Amino acid sequence: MNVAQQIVGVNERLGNFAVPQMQGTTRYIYDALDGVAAVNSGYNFFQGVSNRVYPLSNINQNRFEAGESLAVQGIQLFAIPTYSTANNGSANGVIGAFPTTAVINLFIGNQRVLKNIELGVFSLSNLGKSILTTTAQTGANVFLETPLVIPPQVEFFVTAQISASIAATSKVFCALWGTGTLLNPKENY
Amino acid sequence: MQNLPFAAQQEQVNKFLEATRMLGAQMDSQQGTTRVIYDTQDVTTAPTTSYDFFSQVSSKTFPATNINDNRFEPGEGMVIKEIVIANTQGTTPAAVVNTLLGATLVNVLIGNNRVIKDLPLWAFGGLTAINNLNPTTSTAITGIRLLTNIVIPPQVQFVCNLRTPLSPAAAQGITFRVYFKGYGKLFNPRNNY
Repeated sequence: MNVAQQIVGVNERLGNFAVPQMQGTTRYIYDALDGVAAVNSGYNFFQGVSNRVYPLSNINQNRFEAGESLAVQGIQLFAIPTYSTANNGSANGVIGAFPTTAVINLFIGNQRVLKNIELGVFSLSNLGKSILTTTAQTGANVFLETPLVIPPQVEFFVTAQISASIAATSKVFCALWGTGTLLNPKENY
Repeated sequence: MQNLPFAAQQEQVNKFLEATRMLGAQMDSQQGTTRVIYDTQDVTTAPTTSYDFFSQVSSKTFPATNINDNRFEPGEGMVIKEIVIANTQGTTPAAVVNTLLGATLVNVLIGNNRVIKDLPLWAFGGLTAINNLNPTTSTAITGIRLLTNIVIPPQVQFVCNLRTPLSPAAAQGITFRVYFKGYGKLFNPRNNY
């Protein structure tokens, strides 16, 4: 079963039979939280995202509009130290140094679909990722072995527990990406 | 250079023909090709953080763009497979890879339909790239291979909008150039090569 078939199957089981007519697209949604200056702290991404304005997030609420959905094919965790929109100097990077550990859970509609998967060491060690821009650069990507479909109108959120202490002036970003659909009442391009 | 397997090639052709057929255009006999179109916009002095590309190409000349109109002629069209964003400003262009400028949101509209929604440059390249088949060491250019085929039919207007998280002054130098690359069709009244 390919990604498109999984999106259609999940949506149709929820009574959304129009999804095959929706616009296929590439989606990348993210949310940012203040760093917590204590080890082993917890973060809840996408919950309360309506309070965070761009560029802290590129979505308005933690559920998709009618006709929109996302098959999550990868998940990312990264940080911008000394975050500021006053200049472009604050580079983003992976969180902490090896062996910083970050355990992630993804919930869709009250159901846990990713259970305590570890992103920190995976990212820092370039495990579970296939894209490298330079040999010296570390990636924040972990590719999932199966797409996880977030249907329209169903709440989702990510919880993370990160072993590293992160300064409160930093922002911690979580991103979900994959193939998606957009509302398209007419022609499909 | 990626050599697509036949099934992937056929998938983009089928979607293109289906989308254009729905609009009443029979494109089957037109010449298949590879298209790369681009538009450039100097945003260093612009007062806003939102910039439209391709919408004003008719008033630009080479090398700012390589098309005359933001809609294809009859018999022409393309499937967007890759989007590339380059910062061509000056000698020290602001980095778009692994920086806050990576939060720049890309939206693509075709015929009043939004087909790419708030896709940040972070997805394009650097440590957060999701499907980058053309990794580069430059921090001023970044690109993404899309996960689905997106068709621009003939005679339908298309626009790409960039929304930056920084003011142009804060970004210290951005002249964005947006490229669309992909499978295309050229008008061909006679033989098909």
